[in-house]
Amino acid sequence: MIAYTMLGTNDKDRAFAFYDAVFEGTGIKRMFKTPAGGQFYGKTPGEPMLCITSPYDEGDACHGNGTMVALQCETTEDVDAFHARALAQGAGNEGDPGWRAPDMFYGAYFRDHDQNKICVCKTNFAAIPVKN
Amino acid sequence: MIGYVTLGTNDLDQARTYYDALLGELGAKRLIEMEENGFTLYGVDMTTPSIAITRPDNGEPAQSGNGNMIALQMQERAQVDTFYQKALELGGSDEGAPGVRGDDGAMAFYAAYFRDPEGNKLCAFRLGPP
Repeated sequence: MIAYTMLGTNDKDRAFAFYDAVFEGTGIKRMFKTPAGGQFYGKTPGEPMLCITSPYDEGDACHGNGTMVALQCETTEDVDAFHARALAQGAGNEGDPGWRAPDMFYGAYFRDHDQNKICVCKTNFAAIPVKN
Repeated sequence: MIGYVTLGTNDLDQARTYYDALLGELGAKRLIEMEENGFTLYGVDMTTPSIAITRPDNGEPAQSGNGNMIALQMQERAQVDTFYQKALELGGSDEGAPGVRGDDGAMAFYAAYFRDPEGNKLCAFRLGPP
């Protein structure tokens, strides 16, 4: 369903440096640039990607409220390390790593330099029965 | 990589009605509903990246942001047209009619852009031949 999602920035160089550092060791890497200079990050073609870009209307980027991108990790240790890397890069802490739903959702939250909210999580969503 | 993306709402009932109908077109349905903040997760199953609508966690009004967008992949150009029409009929607003962006051809990007009733921007696209 989701092919990619975009987040706005007012300083592409700073944002790319931030995400380069935060994604280090996760397998998420720079994929390609948009004609407008936005940077797509992803793991493999075919998997949903994240693009950091200046807004299409050439106005100022503005973070949403209620808007958030949740990135999945394989382990809770990966979540801890990811969150720590983000804070070390100057991200704002929006929630320390921890189980929000026992055995189901382990998450940590931060904001990038443009105040976009990111969640990193280890979930066991697949175990939830889907009602028809 | 992406587990889910959330969009803020100030009118949960309206947003649920909108996304029930719109994402239903793609076979997605409500997978999780939480009482606390109205968090409603839409997906085709629990292992595919999904979209959630929610009242903001900080209790402040929801706001759409600028530069933010979710892009949804369609199987053919006709589906882009249908999906975009549905998005507008349900109360969305136009941000770009369906058409090829860039060069046409084997890797053509055929896309349409719209905003939901609260201003969150989405894109529906087909990459490749019609």
